[in-house]
Amino acid sequence: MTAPRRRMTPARGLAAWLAAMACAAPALAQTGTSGPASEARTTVEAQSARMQQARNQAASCAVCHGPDGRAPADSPVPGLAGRAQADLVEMMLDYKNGKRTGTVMPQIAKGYSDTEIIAIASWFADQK
Amino acid sequence: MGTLGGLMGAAALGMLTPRQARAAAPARVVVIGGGYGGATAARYLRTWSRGAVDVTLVEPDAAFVSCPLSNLVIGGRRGMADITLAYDTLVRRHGVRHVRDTAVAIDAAARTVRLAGGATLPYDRLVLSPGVEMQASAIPGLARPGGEQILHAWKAGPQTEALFRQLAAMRDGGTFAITIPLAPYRCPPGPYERACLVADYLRQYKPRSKVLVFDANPDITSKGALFRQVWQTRYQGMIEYRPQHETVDVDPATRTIKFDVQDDERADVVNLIPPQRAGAIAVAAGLATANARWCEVDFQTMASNMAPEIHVLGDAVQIAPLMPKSGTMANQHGKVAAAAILQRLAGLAPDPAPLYTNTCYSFTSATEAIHIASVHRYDPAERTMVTVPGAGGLSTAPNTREGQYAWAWARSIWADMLG
Repeated sequence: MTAPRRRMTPARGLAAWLAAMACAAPALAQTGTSGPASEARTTVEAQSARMQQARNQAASCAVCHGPDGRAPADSPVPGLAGRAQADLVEMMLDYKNGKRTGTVMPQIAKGYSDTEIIAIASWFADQK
Repeated sequence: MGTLGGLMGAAALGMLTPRQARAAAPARVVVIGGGYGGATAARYLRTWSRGAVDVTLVEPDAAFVSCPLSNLVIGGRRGMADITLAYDTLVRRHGVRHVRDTAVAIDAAARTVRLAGGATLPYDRLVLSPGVEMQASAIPGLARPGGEQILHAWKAGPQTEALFRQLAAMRDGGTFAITIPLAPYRCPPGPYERACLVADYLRQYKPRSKVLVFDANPDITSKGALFRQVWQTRYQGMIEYRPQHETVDVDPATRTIKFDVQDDERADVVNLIPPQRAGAIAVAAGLATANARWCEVDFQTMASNMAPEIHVLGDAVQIAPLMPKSGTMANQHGKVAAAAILQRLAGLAPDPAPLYTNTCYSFTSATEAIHIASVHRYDPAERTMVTVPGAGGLSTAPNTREGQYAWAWARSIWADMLG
């Protein structure tokens, strides 16, 4: 018997990702003059660095799933571009936790933190 | 980039000093070598900069020929056309300038590359993806008459087809010998895949023949249990594996292989894979600091330890622990370098912790394949890439599904680097 599958809504996924970014911000903050303007700039820069890291990490998937997650026509390996973040996150977590079988993906998913999976999935979801 | 945008605005108004005009000109990146590393770096430098960076690819060939999957050509299952792709799209769609020439010298102080054709290319950043050079001098017999008939076919191209022709011309009941150098060498599982695909051909067309594998290493370098399994079942009695056989010479006239310890062996076809090192230009530029063979790099940026403006990729790199010299890995190196170069050009810090995967398929027959996968994460304490514990792994057995995935990998990565 199959247990009911947990679904993560896109809003929850995005919230978790934003929370992760907020946590990362102090570590990524650059030194500069203090004050509200510089703090705002620092937050934007940290967010930009975090999004860029997600882009870089997502780029790794291209070797099998195609550039920007756009799989070549008729590929037996599915594309990732433009797919719902929640679906991608659920699949990756299921691979990671052994609930979903496969060849390569269960082995690769175990190398990524949940936060990284959420950020990478968000990046692919944005590729329309 | 804000400053750059401001300067460009000023340029439009004709208000720039000559020095500012230079600063506002597009950055120039030269990429040497159009293989899995170099072509990927060229494409991603253009894509991620939205065309703002000038990229010149120095590559003598008009088309890319893939080393991965080339064993299917040697085994007679595919043709060269199946593993050959033109550089056209990289030029037309991504605006990469393709200079069909060979880089012969790098002047790191002047930041220039000299080409065989005589031209000199200036650069702000250099990407060096020279692949490997066969150390033919380690095998003196290769320079004797007939030495050109002893093929490595370890760079995809004319030798790939020529080795298939030697296999096709071999008598039934003959022996096809493959010699493997001590690791590290390009594509760790490649020689064992080749043994499978040569045996697959022989089983069908010349069933009394044998494949002899002489390996300088103490055991099969990669996917050992899986290769052993398929050799003992599908290719039973056909593939003979001999570890700790280091090839030191060959007599081309009699096709006799000489080892450092054991007695000589004769074969009908000798496929001799010599020891390798970083491509000649990297060695000439003084970048191959590890045993005078491989280039040490900062894995955060792939910048050479010897010259921070030169980013070295792929097989030429002194590998991190458990990092294979594979096409996938060169592709990942290319993206790390592209991202780091664009950050540096914008005056920003590079991604502090690269994270990427390696996936490598090997065919065990015309249709079945096996994989090895690993996840590599930058370790700030060790200052190198380390594999993530608990992640990665191998196939359980050869299977046709992964044979299809291997081709899917090829089409995806080719689109990623060239498309």
